Amino acid sequence: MRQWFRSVVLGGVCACAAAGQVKAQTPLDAAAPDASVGAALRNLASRAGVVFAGQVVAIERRGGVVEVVFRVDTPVLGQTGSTYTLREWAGLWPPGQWRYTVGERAMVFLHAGSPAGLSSAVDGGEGVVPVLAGSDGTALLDIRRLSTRVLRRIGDPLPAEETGGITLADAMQVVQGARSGVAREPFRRPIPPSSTAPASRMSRPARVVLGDEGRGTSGAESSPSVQRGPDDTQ
Amino acid sequence: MTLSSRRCAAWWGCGRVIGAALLLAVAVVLGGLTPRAWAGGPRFVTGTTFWWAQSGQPMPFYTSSPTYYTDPGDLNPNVTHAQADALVAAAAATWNVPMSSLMLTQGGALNEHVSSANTYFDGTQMVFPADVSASNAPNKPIAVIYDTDGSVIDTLMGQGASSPSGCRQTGAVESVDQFGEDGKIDHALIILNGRCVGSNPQQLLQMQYLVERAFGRVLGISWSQLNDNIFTGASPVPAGEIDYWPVMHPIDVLCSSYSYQCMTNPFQLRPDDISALSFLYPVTSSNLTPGKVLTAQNATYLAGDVLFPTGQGMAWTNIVVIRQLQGHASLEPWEIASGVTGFQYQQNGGNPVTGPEPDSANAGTPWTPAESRFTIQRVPNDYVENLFMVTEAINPLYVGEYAVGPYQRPPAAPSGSQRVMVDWSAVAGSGAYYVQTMDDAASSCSPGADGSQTQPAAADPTGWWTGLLCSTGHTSWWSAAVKAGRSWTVEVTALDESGAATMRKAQPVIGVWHSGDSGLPTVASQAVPMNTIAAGVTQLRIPAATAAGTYTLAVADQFGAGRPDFAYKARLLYADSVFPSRVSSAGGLILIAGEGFRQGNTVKVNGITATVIGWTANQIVARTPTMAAAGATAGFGVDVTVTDPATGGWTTISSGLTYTRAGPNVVRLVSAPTALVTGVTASTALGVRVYQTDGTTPVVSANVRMGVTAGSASLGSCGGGTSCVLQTDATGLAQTKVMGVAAGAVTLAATELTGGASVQVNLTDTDTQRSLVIQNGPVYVAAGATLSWTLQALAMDQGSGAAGVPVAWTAGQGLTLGTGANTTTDANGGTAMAVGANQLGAGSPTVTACAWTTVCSSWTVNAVDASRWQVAATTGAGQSVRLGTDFLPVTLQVSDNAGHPLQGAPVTVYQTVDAWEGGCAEAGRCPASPVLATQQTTAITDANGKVTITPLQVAGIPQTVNIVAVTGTTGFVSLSLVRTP
Repeated sequence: MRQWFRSVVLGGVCACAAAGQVKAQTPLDAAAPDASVGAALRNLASRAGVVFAGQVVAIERRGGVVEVVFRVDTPVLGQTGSTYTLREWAGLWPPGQWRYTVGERAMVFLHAGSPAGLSSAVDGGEGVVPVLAGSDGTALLDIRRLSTRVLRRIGDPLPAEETGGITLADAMQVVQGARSGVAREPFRRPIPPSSTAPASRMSRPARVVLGDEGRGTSGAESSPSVQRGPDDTQ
Repeated sequence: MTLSSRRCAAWWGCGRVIGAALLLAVAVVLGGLTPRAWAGGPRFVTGTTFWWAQSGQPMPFYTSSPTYYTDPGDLNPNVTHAQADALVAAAAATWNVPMSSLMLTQGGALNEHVSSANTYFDGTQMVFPADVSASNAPNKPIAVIYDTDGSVIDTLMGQGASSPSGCRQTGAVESVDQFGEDGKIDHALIILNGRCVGSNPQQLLQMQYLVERAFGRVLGISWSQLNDNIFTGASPVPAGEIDYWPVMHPIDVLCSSYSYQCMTNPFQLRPDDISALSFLYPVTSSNLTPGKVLTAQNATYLAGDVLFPTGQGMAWTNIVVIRQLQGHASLEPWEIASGVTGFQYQQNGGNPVTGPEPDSANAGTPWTPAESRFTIQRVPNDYVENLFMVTEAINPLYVGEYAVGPYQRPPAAPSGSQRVMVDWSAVAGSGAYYVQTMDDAASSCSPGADGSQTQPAAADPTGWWTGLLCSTGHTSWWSAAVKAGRSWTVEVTALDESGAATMRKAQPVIGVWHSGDSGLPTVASQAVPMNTIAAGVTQLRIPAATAAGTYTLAVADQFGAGRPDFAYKARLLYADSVFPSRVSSAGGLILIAGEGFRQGNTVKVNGITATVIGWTANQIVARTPTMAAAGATAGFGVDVTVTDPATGGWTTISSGLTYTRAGPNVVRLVSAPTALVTGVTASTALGVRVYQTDGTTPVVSANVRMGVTAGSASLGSCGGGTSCVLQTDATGLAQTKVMGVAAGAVTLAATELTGGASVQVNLTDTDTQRSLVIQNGPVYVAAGATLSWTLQALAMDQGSGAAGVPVAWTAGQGLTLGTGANTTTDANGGTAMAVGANQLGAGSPTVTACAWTTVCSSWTVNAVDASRWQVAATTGAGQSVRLGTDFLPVTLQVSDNAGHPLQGAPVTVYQTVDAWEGGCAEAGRCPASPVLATQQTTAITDANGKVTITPLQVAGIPQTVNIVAVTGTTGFVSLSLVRTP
């Protein structure tokens, strides 16, 4: 067994050496990345029992179950009323951890309930696609999280705000088309800046040159007040 | 060790902070004490409502040597139990590093193979075999289940959840399901999905990677944002950076079917992972064992605060550290470790709308200094290096199950621009504490006078106002009066620093109480923030009540937070009344009075769209549909609704309008002015009479809108305004006096509101009664003169001096005005202006004064060229006196050739005194007279063009004085004065 395990690890090392490269080998049972955002929607839809667009209006813990109550704005697949209650195993909700927040608006892809009546979003957070308003008031899906399901190389950019949205109507057509074998790619649209944080990938501080004593200078940083540790007193 | 005085002054807890930092620093360096853990990276922190003694404490496992117990079954037909155990052991071993006291090892096996056969839901709880359940925590703290057929995962997470298509998410499912009274993790589960592995080694390695990350989670380590450009691609990824992408990054990059292949060395912790791990499980001198090293060895500890200018902590900011190693001229091209601000602070403080947070959301401490705090336990440091701590926003994708730190809410965007803190020459084994104020962040924490629950402030009468939720826990309280039968809407829009709607700052919730009520909202509440599709807008619709009432409104943050960048705009959309309340069956104009209206609002009568004619925040004028179109019945009230399509908000006046069966009324002009004069009230009023459809029966108390629809005029019955609604008298007459306001065309209209019948009168306003006169006459001066004048102007309005009228002055070439170019008339309508000329050239420049913009007067200075000057004696010429009598002065006057006296002309005078010789002989030469004296002088003519000459005289001698005066190029005069014996 130890010999077998060593070979497994070595295989991993070999694979690691090729990190960043797209692998052509895809086992049949592997969760291969999706080819596109449209394919990601179809993938989620194909495994969902219920799909709708709505908003979380209440979250309540009841024994070993956490009930997430949605107001259903747009039914897409499966049976829903004006509200839908997702019953999740409370083990997924340790105290202080919130998988959803009240007010969260999304197009959700949910597994059909188990015999125990429990369910969850397909592929976790990937099956909860945020819905927001476009600049013209059109309901948009923020597909930036969904886009992480798509095959890409390390450092390939995720969709920017300019292409980070698709209309809910477009998404519905993609999802409903998936059930009838129709594959189409939704049209990308910009998402409004109100839904995004400033892209704060830092610009690195100015070049610093160490002096003889290891102290450098820089014009980029602001020097805050400092309380040094014991090294100052040693 | 000192802390800035500014910092101390701002913090009531300064002393505690210093003490804690000092204690920690000493403990870390000396390794002699167990440090009070103040570092970043925990997934859980203690709250206040449980039995935990101290809130805000990170929560590790209850032991630094937790053991896990594996399922005795096979993982699946291809992976035996032993193989699976080896896989799990390899994943666990990743976390056993020298710098942390953690020793995660296998303790043995579970008592039974776990499957859906022995795992079920009892209607309340999931029931696992006894030794797997949390109640067995002291014996088996971590249970590892081999879910061979995926049935356990399907039971827990829904049908199809174990599908191989979802293995990246459900390949290894973890659950921390019990905490101890000491604020530590007691028990956890990890479920391996047997459907996710086969004989392919890559699948096994992928499973190992998933289990590795699952172990990190159950050990209490949070996701971490570091070198996030690897995930976002927002900037190029330099060589080697991926070696520092933490294992606990929130979301994988999928460069292949196996995400572990998208990392280098996926089974080796990064410095950031070790920092988080060693924070929860530190090695100190008290627990140092063989194979372990002090956490502080070859490392630097960093902590600090990020603050608003107000001194309040700025939570939800990511801090990344970049090193500059000794002897290197540049920074490392990657980030080495990270922390987040406010990770110890209360994650949910509750609010008055929904009440206290539930126990399940109670995490963190209410101790306010924790709101700003970040700590980074361990930055690798072999000797000495510079450390750059950089602030950045948290990626908005990192929410919910991917949240960094112990955050519950969507992190608010940081305020202000990015900052860099530098720990110069940080020595290995040291610690440092920094305070960074974001100087350009939102800088006010004044929420204004928004009242309290018992004394709410009155909402703005326009229905629109702004507010600020600051500081922590602040709630804005407002009051509003609403009539019976009116539904209404309250909207709150979260704003960012620029005033734009945002979803990344406050999460507003709204509550409504009857005035004086307490407790949770007694009328309505909106606990769901941003529940409309409009960006950042939370909306609460309140149904109509049967009685008028005064209500208290509350605006709060969903999580009970509050800070300087949590601004909001509130709106009360409320239709109060319809005027008139009755219209004819043909429809008519109505005025809806209320609050919170804006452009784009629509009006419906009985559900049928009315045409909006105009709007203000407090009024909407609309033309109703006909009774037939509205589907209304004469004599029965119908609802009038104002809707805002942008937000979906609406307000309705129940039965606010009634149609009458009669046809439209008729309006006839009775009288009207024939013309208007500005400032004068016309003697003839604008009068109309309203008749019923028959054209003969006057309508009493009909509503007639009188208005100035073009030009400028004021209506006396409208209080001097330009529009109002009047009611007809007993004869059906409505009338108003009209006063002209400005010259030009004026159109007046009178419209009967129920049917819309209207008459229109076109007039012209003339402005003949205003005048402005510069009272100084034109002046003539000598070219080249330097002079000054004071002009007096008089403004008259309707025959009287116009007081307080602004007068604008302008001067032509060569002329200058006194201080300023504008004056204002005094009580008598007078005003003055100083005008100067310096060596004025020939010409006729003017000064113009204008009042009321167009009423002007001019004054001219005629500067006459020297070639046109003439001079003559006006007095004193031809004098002949006896000896003993003096000559009188001689006056000369300079004028132009048209006779205008010239001011400022220089006149040169030559005088010669000759002895008097008597008359000439009848024959022969005249006697020669000796010259007694001569003189040359120069004088400047006065405002009348005159100069006065004193004759040159020699006392006691008969004499003749000859005077010659010269001016300009041709002006000349000579005269003689005689004194005889």
